[in-house]
Amino acid sequence: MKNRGWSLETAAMVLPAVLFLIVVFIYPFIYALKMSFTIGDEGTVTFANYIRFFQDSVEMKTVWNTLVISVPVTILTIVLAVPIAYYMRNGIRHEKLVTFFLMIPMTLGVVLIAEGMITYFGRNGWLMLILERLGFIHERTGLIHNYWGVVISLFIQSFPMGLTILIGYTRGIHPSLERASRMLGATKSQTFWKVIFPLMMPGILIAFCLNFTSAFSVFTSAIMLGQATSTTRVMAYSAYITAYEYFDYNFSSTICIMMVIIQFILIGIVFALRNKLYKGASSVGKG
Amino acid sequence: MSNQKKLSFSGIIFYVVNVIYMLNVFGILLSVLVNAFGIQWPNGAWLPDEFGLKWWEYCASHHDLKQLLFMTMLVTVITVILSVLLAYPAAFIMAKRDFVGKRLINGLFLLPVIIPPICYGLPLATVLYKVNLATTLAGVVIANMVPTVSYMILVILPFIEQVGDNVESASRMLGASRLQYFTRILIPLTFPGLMSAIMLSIVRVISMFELTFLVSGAKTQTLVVALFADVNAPGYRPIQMIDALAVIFFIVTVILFMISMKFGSPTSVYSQIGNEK
Repeated sequence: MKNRGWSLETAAMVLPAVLFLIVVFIYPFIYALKMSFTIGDEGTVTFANYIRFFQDSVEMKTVWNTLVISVPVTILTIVLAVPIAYYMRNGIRHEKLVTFFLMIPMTLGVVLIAEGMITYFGRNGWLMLILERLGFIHERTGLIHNYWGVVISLFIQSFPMGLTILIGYTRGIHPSLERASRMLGATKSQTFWKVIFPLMMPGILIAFCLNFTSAFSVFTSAIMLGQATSTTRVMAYSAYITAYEYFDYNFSSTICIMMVIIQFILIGIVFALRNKLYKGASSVGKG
Repeated sequence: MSNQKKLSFSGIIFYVVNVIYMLNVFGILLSVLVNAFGIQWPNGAWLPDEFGLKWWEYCASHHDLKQLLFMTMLVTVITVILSVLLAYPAAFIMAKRDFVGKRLINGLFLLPVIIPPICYGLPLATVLYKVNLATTLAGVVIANMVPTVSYMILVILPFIEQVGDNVESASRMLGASRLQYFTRILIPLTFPGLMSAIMLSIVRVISMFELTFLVSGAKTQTLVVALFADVNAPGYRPIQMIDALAVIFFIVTVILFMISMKFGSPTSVYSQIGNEK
């Protein structure tokens, strides 16, 4: 019944968007790949940029910094979002209000939140004053212009995204599965670990990947809330500074490509681990 | 369903995390507001000594606010209009037609939403500088269109899918042309989806930082780039003045966000990405 050929209509309506993305989205990647294998304006193919990348201790430290920032944030987001998404699976009271508050940081964007954090998390900000008054700390030290500022800002941005994806999954699990498990005598925690959690697994993986890639390519908050030149020098900043301050577009492209490759490697490791640990429960189980 | 409301482990985490999260986000936003209207905030005090508009005047004299707002609106409106022209027909084909290579194209449409902007922003900026489009309005619009086109396709697609196939056959049989089918039937039927795609995209483009930052120049700065530049500019800028600029940005974004919430939830796209795989 259905015709799988390209009609004139199909081509005329879908190709403008496809061509646009090929030119401004795919081509720049190919261009960057080409740049990363050359030096200056010469056309000869060389691995010099990649050798330089792996021999440069500053760049290696940058990779390490980026991982140290992004991996804990991603894990924390997932660990907190899984029980919360589970709790919200059948809807909650005041759900609109809760969603609204969670959406605000995503909507306002990283710049505004980071700017606000400078005052709020600063040495004389409200958080420090409250903690001091409550006796948790003796001396006020700001949580900005260091590692923690970047981590907090990333968490604020990535938590709603991870939670939203996971809620989509817990809501897709049919309530009758849970009822059946309880009726057959499983306890609440057994039901969670044996029924719900495996069904959430695909969602957890997707949430992990999306949160990890966005945390790994941290840029704005590393500059605004960290020390981008030293302790929070991250890969995106390194690529940016190489291109825009040293005008070394070839090496900047190399860093960009390496950034994408490292993300792929880590995602690959996570999927490999999942395959080892969870065999079988791969269906989403929508009732 | 549950007969006894005992607070479970997941319930405790839900309340603790959400309360901490919300209090801190609220604190961040409120301290920006208070600081912008305060004259001076002594170290270790809960509130500024006195309130006034001093820093607002300072902000107005150091920024061409009219130009900033105008540029922000201009970039947003052009980006959204051009994106919808590309996205709507593409979403229609992806929802209603089957063709060779559909899965590949589907992947292409999904990628810009999944890949973080800085990853493709840096290579894109390099290319735009090479063809002398960077720092121009066209360059800024092109960069912002990349994620917006993809995002719009994802938002509109389910709305078009809901329109039954027989509606199209019926309209054809009754003699409507293709154009008439679109203007008289499909667009009115999917109007809520179209509006939510447009509103959500407007909010996104206004607060999207990295892409605009990488390709904009002095004349094509938008509000969010100016805000970032103020914080990181060499030379001292009083934080109160930056807060005043942040409040302006906040008001613009929140008003648009409230309007967009009327049309649809910004999270729908993320739950869709999750469900697709």
